[in-house]
Amino acid sequence: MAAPSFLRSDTAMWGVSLLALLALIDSIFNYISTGNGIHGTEGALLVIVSTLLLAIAAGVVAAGWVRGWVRIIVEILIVLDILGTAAAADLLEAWILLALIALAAVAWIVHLVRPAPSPVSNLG
Amino acid sequence: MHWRLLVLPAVTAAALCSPSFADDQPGSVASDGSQAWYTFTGQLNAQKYATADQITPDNVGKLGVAWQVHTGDVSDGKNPNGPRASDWGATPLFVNDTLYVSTVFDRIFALEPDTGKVKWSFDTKVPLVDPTQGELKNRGLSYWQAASPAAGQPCQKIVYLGTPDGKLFAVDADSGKACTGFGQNGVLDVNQWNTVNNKWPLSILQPPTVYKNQLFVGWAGQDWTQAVQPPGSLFAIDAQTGKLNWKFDAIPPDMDPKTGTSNVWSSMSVDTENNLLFIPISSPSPDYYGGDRTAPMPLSTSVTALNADNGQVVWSYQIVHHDIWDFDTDSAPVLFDLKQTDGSMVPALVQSSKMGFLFVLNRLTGKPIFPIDEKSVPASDVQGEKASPTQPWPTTPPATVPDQFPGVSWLADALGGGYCSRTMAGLRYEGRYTPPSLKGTLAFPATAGGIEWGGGALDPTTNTYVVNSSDVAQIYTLLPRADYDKVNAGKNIEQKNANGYFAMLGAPYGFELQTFLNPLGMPCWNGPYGTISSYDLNTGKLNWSEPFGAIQKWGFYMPASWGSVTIGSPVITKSGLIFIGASMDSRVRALDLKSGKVLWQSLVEAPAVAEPAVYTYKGKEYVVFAVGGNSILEPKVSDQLIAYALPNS
Repeated sequence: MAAPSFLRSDTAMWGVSLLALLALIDSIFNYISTGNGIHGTEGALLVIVSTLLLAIAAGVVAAGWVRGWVRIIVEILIVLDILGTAAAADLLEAWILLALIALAAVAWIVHLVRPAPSPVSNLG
Repeated sequence: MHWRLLVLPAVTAAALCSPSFADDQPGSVASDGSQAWYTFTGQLNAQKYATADQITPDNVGKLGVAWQVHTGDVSDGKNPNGPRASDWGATPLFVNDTLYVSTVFDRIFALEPDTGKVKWSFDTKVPLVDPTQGELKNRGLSYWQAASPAAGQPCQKIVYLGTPDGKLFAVDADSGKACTGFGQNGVLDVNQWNTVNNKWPLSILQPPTVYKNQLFVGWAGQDWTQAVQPPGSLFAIDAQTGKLNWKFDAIPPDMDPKTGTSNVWSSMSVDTENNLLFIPISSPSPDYYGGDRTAPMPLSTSVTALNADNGQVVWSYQIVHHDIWDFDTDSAPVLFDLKQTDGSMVPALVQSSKMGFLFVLNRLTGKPIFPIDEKSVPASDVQGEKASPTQPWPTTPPATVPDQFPGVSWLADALGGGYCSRTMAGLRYEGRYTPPSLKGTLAFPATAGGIEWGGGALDPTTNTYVVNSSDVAQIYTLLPRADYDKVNAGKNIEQKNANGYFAMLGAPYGFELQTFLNPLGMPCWNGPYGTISSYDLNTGKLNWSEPFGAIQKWGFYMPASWGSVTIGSPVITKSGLIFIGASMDSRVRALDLKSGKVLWQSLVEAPAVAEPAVYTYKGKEYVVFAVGGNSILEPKVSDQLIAYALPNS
C-alpha cells in the first residue's frame, strides 16, 4: 500500500518548523509579558533564540535547501535544539512552550519514520 | 537530669494559678470581634497565629486575588541620581477596621481592608537615603490606641513610623494628620539620645513594639564599619507625648570606649500577664573580631527579659558567648504555654537563631526547659582574639541547620572547574563556631542564617511551631589592616560592602565576607538550601521538615529538593494552614500544617520577605502580602501589596 502523500513529502518537517514558530511567538510573549515569573530573564531569551533557530533549520530541511552531509548535521542540530529547548522550557516552567516543543518532537519522529521518496518517477 | 525536673516548681505553680495566656492590648480585637493583626508579628506574643478559619486546606486551592495596589514607592537603585535599591519587608497592620502599611519612601497608607482603596496617606518627607544600611529599608508600622478613646478627640488612636535618620512620626489613625502632642509637632527625634560614640543616626527600620501606653524603640546601625559604635540602647517612650520613660543599655558602660551596638534591631514580644518585655539583643561591634572587647558582656547576643515598667533586667540568656560571627539574636521570641505530660503548664518561649538552634526557655526565669549543653568549640588562631572555649548547644528541639557542613556539591564543583573543592581545601573548618581566620574560615551556619528576623509561628492549641530556615555557607576572612586598606584603596563604603568588605575601623583587622559560590554563582555546598520545619514544642520533637521554596537563576527554576534561601516568616491559621512568602522564586504559598505539603501557590512580583497579615473583614478572610524583595535573596524589588481571598460563593 502506498504511503499517504503527506508522509511522502516532508510535511512533518514543515510541521516542526511551524510548531517552532508558534513556540517562538510564545517565547517572545513570555519574555515581554510581566507577571509570569520569567519575563526579561536570560532563560526566556535563550528559548527565543533556540526556537528561532529551530524554525529556520526545520524550514531549510523541509524545503530541501540542504543536501548530503550538511543536511545530516542540520538534522542532528534540530534534535539537539528540540531536546535543549524542552529542558529549558521545563526548568522555566513554561508549559505551553514545553507542549509545543513536545509536538515538534513528535513531528520530527514522523519525519524520521516516513518512507523514503521513490527514486523513480511515476511513468504512469 | 530529665528536662521536666529542671523546671522550677514555683514557676509551674504560678502558671497553673494564672489565667490562660491572652493578649489584652487595646486594639487587638476588631470592631466585629474578630482578631486584629496589630503588630509586626501579628500579636504581642509573636505567635503569628490567625484565628481566621474560612480558608481551609480543602478550599485553599480556590484562593484568588481579591485586590492589589502598587504604592509607587520602589527603587531598583539603578539610577545613579536616584535613591538606592529598596528593601521592603513591612507587615501590614489590620487594626481599627483599616489596613495600614508603610513604604520604603517613608510614607503611610491607610486602606480599606476589603478593596485596597486608599483612605488617607501621610508623607514624612524625609530624605530618601538610609545613612546606616545603604538600601532603603522599611519593616512596617506600630499602632497604639487609648484604653478608652475619648470621642471626638484626635490621636486617641495613633500609627507610628520610624525613619532611617532616627525620627519617629506619630499620625492620627483615623485622619492621617500628625499628632502634634507627640515629640515636636508629631515628630520625635530619637537620635537626640544618641550621645555615646555617636557615629551615625539610630535608624528605626523595625517598628517599635507597643504595650500599654509605651513604645519600645530599638534601632539598626552599622556594626561592621567601626569597632566603637553607639551602645545598644532601647528606649521606652510615652505613646502620646514621646517623653522618655526609661532607657536600657545592653553594654556595660565601662565597655563603651571599646565597642558598641548589641542593639535591638528586630521585633520584640510581650508577656502581658507578667508585664515582661522580651528583647532579642544583637552582637557587639565589630562583628567579626572581639580581641578588643574580651571583658564579659553577658547581655550581648542574648534574649533578655525586662520589666516593661522600668526596664530592669529580670533575666537574660546569652545564646552566643563572645560573638565573633555576627550571630545577632534577630527575632522576637515566640511566647507559649508548654504542656507537660502530667498536664501542667510551663510559661515558655522559643528563641530562634541564625545558628538554626531553637532555645526553649522558661519565660519567667530564663532557665532552659529542654537540655542545652555547653559544648567545647574551636579556639581562634588569630593574634589578639580569644574565642569563647564553649558555646550553648541545644540538643532538643533538633536544630534547623545540620551541625556539619553538608559537603561540596559535585555539580557546582564540576561546572566551576574544581573551584569549590580547591577553595574548600584552603579553608579552616572545624564545625560550628569555627572562628574567623586569616586563611579564611568556612562558616556553616553563617550570618545569613539559619533563621532570620521573621522567626517562627506557633499554633497555641497544639504548640506546633513552624519555622523556615536557610542552609548557607559563607567564608569569613580577616585581613590585617594594611592588606585590607590595599585591597580597598579608593573605594567608598558602598563599594566595599557590595564586594563583601567590612572595614571594622579601629580593629587590627578588616573583614571579607563571601558566600561560598562557584564562578557561575552556584552554591558550592550540597542542598537543601532552605527548609521549613514543624516541631511539637510540648516534647521538642520534630514533626516534619521539608525543602521549601525554589531557587530561580536566569529564569530557570532549580529542583524542588534544593529548596530556597528564605527571608520572611510563616503565619499559621486556625484552620491548619501555613501562609508564607520568603522564597527566592517570588511565590507565596499555603502549606498544610500537618504535612508541610504545598497546597496553593501564587506568583508575585518579587520575594515577599515579610510575614503576611491575615484577618477577617465583613465576614471574609484575607491574606495580604507586601511584596518588596530583599537583596540577600535576589536583586528584584516591587511595591506590590496583594490581598488573596476565596471567591464569592
